[in-house]
Formats: sequence, C-alpha cells, structure tokens
Amino acid sequence: MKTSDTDTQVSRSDVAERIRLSATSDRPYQLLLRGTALFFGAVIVLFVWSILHTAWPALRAFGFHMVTGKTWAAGNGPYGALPLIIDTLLTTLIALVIAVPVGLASALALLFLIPQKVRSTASSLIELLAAVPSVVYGLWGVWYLIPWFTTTLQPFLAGITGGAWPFSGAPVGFGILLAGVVLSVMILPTIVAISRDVISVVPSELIEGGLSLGATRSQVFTRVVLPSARTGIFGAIALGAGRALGETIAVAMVIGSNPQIPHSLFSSGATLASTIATQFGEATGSTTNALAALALMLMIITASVNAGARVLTRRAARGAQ
Amino acid sequence: MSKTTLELPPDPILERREEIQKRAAQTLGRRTLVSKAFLVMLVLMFLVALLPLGSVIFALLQKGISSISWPFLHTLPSQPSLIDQNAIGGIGNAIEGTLIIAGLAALIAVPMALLIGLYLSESSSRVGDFLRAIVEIMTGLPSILLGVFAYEYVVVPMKGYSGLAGVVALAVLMVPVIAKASELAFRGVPTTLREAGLALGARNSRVSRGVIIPAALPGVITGVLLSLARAMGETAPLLLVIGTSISWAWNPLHGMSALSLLTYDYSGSQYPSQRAAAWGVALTLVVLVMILSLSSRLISARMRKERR
Amino acid sequence: MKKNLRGKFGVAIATFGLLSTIAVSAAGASATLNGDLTFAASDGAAGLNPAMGGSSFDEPFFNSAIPVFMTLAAKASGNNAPSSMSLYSPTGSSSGKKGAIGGTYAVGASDVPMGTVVNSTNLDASLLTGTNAATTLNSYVQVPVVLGGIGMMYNLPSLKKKFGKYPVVLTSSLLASVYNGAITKWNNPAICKRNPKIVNVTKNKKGKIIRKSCALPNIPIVPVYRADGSGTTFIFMDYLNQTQGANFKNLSTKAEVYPSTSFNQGQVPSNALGGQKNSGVAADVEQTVGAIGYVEYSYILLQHTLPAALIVNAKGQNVALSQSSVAADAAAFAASPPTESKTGVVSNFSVVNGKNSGDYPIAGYSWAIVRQDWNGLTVGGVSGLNAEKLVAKFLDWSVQGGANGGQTVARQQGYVPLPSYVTALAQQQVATMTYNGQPLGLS
Repeated sequence: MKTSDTDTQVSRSDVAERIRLSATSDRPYQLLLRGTALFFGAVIVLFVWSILHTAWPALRAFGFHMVTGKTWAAGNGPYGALPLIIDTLLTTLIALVIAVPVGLASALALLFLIPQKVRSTASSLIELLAAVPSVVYGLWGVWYLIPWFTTTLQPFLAGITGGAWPFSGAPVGFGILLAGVVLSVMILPTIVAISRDVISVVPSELIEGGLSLGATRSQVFTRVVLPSARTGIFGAIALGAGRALGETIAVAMVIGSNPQIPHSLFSSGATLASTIATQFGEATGSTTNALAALALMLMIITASVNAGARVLTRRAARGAQ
Repeated sequence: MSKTTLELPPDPILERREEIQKRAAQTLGRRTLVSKAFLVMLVLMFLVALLPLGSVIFALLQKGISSISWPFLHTLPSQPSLIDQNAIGGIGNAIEGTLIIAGLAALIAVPMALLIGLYLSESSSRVGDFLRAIVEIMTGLPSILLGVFAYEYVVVPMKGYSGLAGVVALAVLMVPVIAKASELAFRGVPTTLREAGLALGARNSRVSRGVIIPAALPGVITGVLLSLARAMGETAPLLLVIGTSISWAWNPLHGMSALSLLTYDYSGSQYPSQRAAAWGVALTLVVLVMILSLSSRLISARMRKERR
Repeated sequence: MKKNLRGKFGVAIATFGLLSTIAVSAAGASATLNGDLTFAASDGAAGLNPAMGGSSFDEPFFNSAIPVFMTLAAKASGNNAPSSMSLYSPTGSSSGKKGAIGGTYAVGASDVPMGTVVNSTNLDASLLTGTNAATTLNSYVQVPVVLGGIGMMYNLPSLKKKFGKYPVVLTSSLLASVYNGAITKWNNPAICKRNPKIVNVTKNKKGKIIRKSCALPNIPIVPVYRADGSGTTFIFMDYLNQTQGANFKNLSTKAEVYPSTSFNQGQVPSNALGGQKNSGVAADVEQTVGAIGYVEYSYILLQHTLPAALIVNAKGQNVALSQSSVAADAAAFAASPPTESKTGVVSNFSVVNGKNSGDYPIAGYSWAIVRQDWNGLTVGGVSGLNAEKLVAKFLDWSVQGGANGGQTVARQQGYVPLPSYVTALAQQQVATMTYNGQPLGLS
C-alpha cells in the first residue's frame, strides 16, 4: 500500500487543467463520473441516516445516560453503554500492547534482516494473516486458545501477581484478555504492512549517516529509523486500533458476552460491536433503538480513529519528500 | 631531538572528538553485542508473529480435512436427529450462497467503484478531496454497521431476511476498498500516456477506456480480488440480514446460507457431527479466500515485474 | 437413587421409541391422521412457499417436520401437494413474534406466547405497535407446537472419574443462588449437603470410616446464560421465580427478579459468561471448567462428554431430564390446561415445577403464531385463501400425535410429544382461523 503519490502532483494538476478544458467536449463522461460519485455519496448519507434514525428514539429517551450508564440490560433497559465502551477500549489496548512491538519488529526484520530470498515469501505469510476470515479466528480462539489459556497462560500470569489485579479471578479463558490476544493477531498484518511502508521511505542517507557515525544497527533502528518514521507508525497504529475497535464476530465468540465493567483482565465482557451482533437478531422495540445507538457510538469512534490515521499517514507521506 | 616544537594550545573540539572516539572504541564490543541481541530479538519477534498463522492453518488442517470430501462440497446439508445423529450432508448450498452473495455484491460494487476511482484520480477539487476522505474512512468502518444499514433498508421494507440484504451490505463494504485501490492504480498510470491520448484528440472518456483502464487493470484486479476475498469471509453483516436456508437458494430474495455464517452456527452445535464439520466449513472458506488473495498477489507481482 | 435410575431408564425408553418410528416418512398417509393431508388442484398448494421462523428452540422440529409434511402430502395428493415450502429460519423468539406481527413470517414461533404480562410489565408492549401490525392480540392465533425440557449442563472434570455415575444434584434455591451470585464455589456447604454421594471417604487401617469430606471441587462456579433474548431464558427464570419468589433476587438492588427473556446485568455475577443461542451456551460450558449453563434437551441428550444435573422437584425427588420426566411434568398441569381468552391472551401456559412424582421441573411449550384472518394481507411472502389453508393444514398436522403426525417428528428431535389435551387445544386454535370472516372449512 503506497501512501505517496505526490511525485505525480505537478503533472496531475496539469492534467486537471486539461480535463477542465476538455470537459465541455466530454459532458456525458463527466456526468457519469460525477453522478456515480454523487450516488455513492447519497448511499453513505443514507447509511449514516439509517443508523441515526434508528438510534434516535433511544437517544431521545435516555440521552447522555446511554454513554455514562453503567448497566446494559437488553429488553426493557436501562441501556448504559459505559461497560461496553470500556471493554471495547480495553480489548483494543491489549491488542495494541501486543501487536505494536511485534508488528514493528516484524516490519524492521522484513526490511533489513530477513535474507532477500525469503523476504517476499515472509511478507506474504504475514499478509495471509489478514486474509483469514474473522469467524475462523473466533473458532480458533474458542477451541484452540482457550485450553492453552486456562491451563498455561492464565495460571502463569496469575502466578506473577499472586492472583492479584490485573490477573485476578478464575482462569476461565473466555474474557477480555483472550479477546485482546485474538484481536492482536488480527491487527498485526495491518500494523506490519503500513509501518513497513513508512519505514521503507526513511531516506537511506539518514541510515547510512547513522552507521557511518559509528552507531550500531540497533542504535540506528531505535534512534534514527523509528523516530523519523514516527508519524507514519502512529498512523499504522491508529489503523490497527480502528480495526480492533470494530471487530465483531471473533470477539463475540471469545469475550464471554457479559456486559460489565471489568474488574480484571480475566473478566468476561462485551464490546459495542459484539453486543450488536449477539443481541440484534432478538431485539425488539427499544432494544433495537438502543443497539442502533451503540452502532452510532461505534461509528463515531472508528470514524474518528480512521480519520486520525489518515491524517497521520498523509503527513508521513508528505514528510518523506 | 631537541627541536623546538610548536606548542599548540589544546583544541577543545579535538579533545572532545578524541574523547568520543575513545568512548566509542571502548564501548564498541558491548554495543555490538547489544545490537546483535537486539537484532536477534527482532527476528524472533517476527517468528512469533508467524506463530498464529501456523497455528490457525494447523488447526484447520488437523480438524477440517477429515470432513472434506466431494459429497460434502456439492450436496445439501441434512438435519441430524436423535435417530441419525451423524447426518451432516454437505455444504453445497452454503458455497453457492457465498458465491452468489459475494458475486452479486461484486457485480454492483465493481463498476461503481471503478467510476469513483476514476473520478477521484482525475479530480483535484474540494469535493473530490472530501469524497476521498469519506471513502478512506469507510474502508475502516466495522462491517456490522453495514448489517444494521441493510437491515433497516432491505430486511424491514421487504419483510424478510434475504440474500439480497447481504448483497447490499457487502456491496457497500466493497465499493470503498475497490475505489481506493483503483484510484491508486489509475494514478500510477504514467501521465505521459494520458497526455498522449489527449494530444491525439481523444476525449477523456475514450482515454479512460482505451488507455488508463487497460494500463491500470492489474492494480484494479488486485483490488477487486482482495475485496472479494474480504467480503466472502464477512460474517457480522450476514448474521443480521441473510437468515438461513438448508436448500439450494437461487433466489436472492429469500434467505440464504453462507460459509462464514455456517461456520459460526456449527461451531457450538449440539450435534458432534456438526461441531466437527464446522472446521471443514471453515477450511473450505479459507481455501476459497486464499485462492483469491494469492491470485491477487500473483497478479500484482507480475505487474511489478512488467513495470521494470 | 431410584429416581436416578428411572431417569436413565426414561432416556432408554425414549430412544427405543425413536428407533421404532424411524420409518415415518416412508409410512405414507394413513387413516390414523385426524388432520387432512389431501390437496386438490384448486388449492394451488404446489407453488406456495410461506416463510416461517422464530424461536431457535423450535428449529430442529420445523426443519424436520416441513420435509416430512411435504412427503406425506405428496403420498396423499401427488402433484397437487405443496412442494415448494422452504425451511424455518431460527432467528429467535422475539423475532418470531415480530415476524408474525409485521408480516415477515406466515408462521412465527416463540417460546413465550404473545401478550404475556409479568409483574405488570407487558413483555410485548413494544411489539404490538407499529404501522401495519394488527395491534390487538385477538387478531392472532397462538398454537402450542412442541414441548421441551431445559437441562443444566455442567463442566466438572475432576468428578468424572470417581463420581461419574452420580450427577450433581441441584435445587431451585441452589440454582437461584448460583445465578444471582450468592453461591460462588462448587464446594459450598449447601451444594455439598445435597450431594451426599460425592464425598471423599477416609478410612483408618481397620477399614473404619473416620472422615467424610465433600468431593466437590473448591473452584468458582461460572454461571452461563443466554446473551441474546431467549424463550429458553424465560422458562428458566420462570422456574426460579415460581419456586423461589422473592428469594430469587438481584443481590445488589435486592429486587425480586421476574421472568424475562434475558438475564440482565446485575442479575448475574460478574464472572458469568453469556453465549449466543443454545450453541453459544454449550460452547461456553464445554470450554470452561466449573461452568454450568441451561440448554435445551437435545444438547443434554447428545452431549457425550458433559453431564446434566439432577434437579430436585416439588416432591423432593432428584430427577434427570428425559422425555418421560418432562411428559410427566406437563401431565401435572392437565387440570389447568393453557387457555386462550377472547382477547387473545394465553394463560396457564407455564408448566414449570409440576407437583407430581417423577416430574422434571424445568420445561415449557413453544408456540406458533399466525394471523387469524389473512384477507387482504400478505404474510411471509404469500397471500390468499389457499395460502392460509395450507398453513392451517400444516399446523393442524404438526400438533397431531400418532405414527404419522407431526409430534412423531418432534419426538425424533428430542422434544416431548404434546399431551393429548394440549393437541386438542391446539387444534381448536387452528380451527378458529378464518378468511374474510368465513371459517376455512378444514376437515
């Protein structure tokens, strides 16, 4: 995914000029393009409207309490999404804590350390991770990771803190931690791909300069390469976060679907997206409206994170000039 | 030799340099060691990153391959009962459902996305920038939101779950992905080509059809295949809108079955036969998706080679 | 442990019964049917495809019954028989009601009949409004179609080897305490007291018993519930509420917990897990040591690795879930059968906690909901007199006992055949269907 297209900038505006000139002679074509763009814009408006419109009765009835309320109860309410928001953010945070270091290390390894011969195979393997459907990750999480969690990982973590926070509670597998781990696997390819792209445009003069000054490769990586690709890496992290925040089926399968403010990382929980998935089919009346309000919150959160990511990756692409 | 030597005043910069060189030389061993350890750690972390893929593929093969057979792939499912607990039948209609839903979605999305991609690649106006921003943000939106959308605008007015609702959800999901990929592909076509076309007196539409689209085709196809692969694997929006079917469903106005949804449904079934088959269904889905994404990689690799 | 044996025996009998009726679809339409399976060419049934859906509890029944119905009808009427009916969509009880009201389904199924009022809350208040819905209950006909039991599946591998033959015994008060978080460990004295067989016995050298200690493990109980709205949850909560009353309360607010289609946050402890549909609950229980969850009978019967708890019934007996113990429970309510009032409200539909010997106390009916008069309506993609007739005939057949009746299919799928007095009620309900005010004139 190349984020830089600025080398065509000058000539592009030139072309735009020509297009404007020839536009009069090519009306139908222009209309077709604009019409399609307009149509898609209308679909997007309709999409946002559908969610806003369905959510409206709930928002009007419960107001800001929908965001701050601590109890989520399908059926007759109350519909407080605070536990869902916290669980969504927490699972995403866990995913990032795991995926960011592993992802950056993989990106550096792919660019500088893996032998040229296997490099493209290795990067395809990482990209294959992105091709696996999320329901398969859910299946894998439930029937493969849980046994390992309950017998190995969770007792080990609990042993570190002596069963105290944040690893308190029974090691039942299903829960926030498992969801975070599954998510980390799912966002890894995004983080690797984007950060590899932004690191690859770090000017080689910088790297060579660092090496010629006597810095070791690790020093060049940590003090030259990563800092100068910083903006783009934040963009990659934001894109990964956006994906984790909205991931639905895999999370619904492994998180334990218990909408509560977690008391430890072993707690069961429920995210905004997983709650929509598990409760929408059975929902009636006010519950449907409340679930649409969750969808609205999810839309606002993910759209802002993605917009942020976009700003960052663009800035990185500009900075690379 | 008692020559008079020129007494140079001590040069602070030189001293500092010597100091640094000395320090650097002293710490070189340690720094090299740290660096080596760091590099080894990076490679190890990369290998850790590959572990989940290995584990998922191992799980799919270990548990899924025994379910796969020719009848499994082309017959209808049969409902197990207490008498015949092992009845499982096939997943033919789920494969069919996945292909129809994703195929129809692509049929709607591809032309629309290509036109939007063209528009974006040619536009430098504010409107174009705004649309580009919207398209890029859309690519990252959770798919379940489109399930809610299709529910409101297809399931509710049509009074029923239908494959069509799934088609609508997936099409809206695919458009931004393909539009973005094709915009990049169109942008990648050398400006000289376009100008040559225009200079020959061709209209923009003719240039697009005759020059830009063919030149950008590999990139476009890559985008289409990747988004098709993603659409086939989607479960969340389908869960909300397509209902179910255990017969051949050629009519998208009725409920349909799909591989992703079937994996989800079978994964916790009371019938051990269905539980085991969940892995077979998942394996089939992953193979389909992998074929698409691998062929898109092949195409883009060939494209890169040709460029050189 | 006589009761225990009896429970097992019940399963054996039930299973044997199933095997003996294996040939149902091959048997053809015979005179034993009360319902009419003949279709004339003028009925135009061949091309009709009325959509049905709702309660996931009913899925195995409808999806086996529809093909059998078409086969039997074809034996009776050849090409005039319905041949295009598609299968049932297990979208959930609320969605079954919603579909019947909104016209998505010709037949919508729900484990809780419409118009149910609990603690002065009308469970369907939000459903019976809307633009094209008939907003009075008497515009609908509600027909009980299947009867099923709900089992408590648990995961305690440490008991498997030594105490495999003694399923854990639980009472309604223990279940209530587990689900509201008052009891948190399996070796809670109250549970141990009910399970005197599950003990570690320490003997001295002479073989004399010097100490008995509870062998239930000292691990947390993880209650598993349905994360989606569910009629199964309603039946389970109905049981806890009817047996425990105000003792089944929310531990933080101290409020009595009334039956509803979902457990709400605060009504389950923080270590509880939610699963979507029966399958999600079963998967959660299976993957979690110390978990217990409520699932429909077929999950218990087909579950080869995890046991189901024995439940202490109103007579104080420890009863296993089986077709016969559920049938016994339903029979205990013969004196006060479900009735449907003129306003459409179904009362007495609850059959939890039967008072007789051998009753398994957690059971319930599931209901098919159809519009009473289809004149001028399109429901589930079909309209007109012929479509209404087809649906009425299908429902009439579904509730029949006998070798070729729909209830035989139900038994094969792990349900309990409807007691004959309920079949009679169901048929009366179907007979009230009209078209443009005129009875359908089914035989």
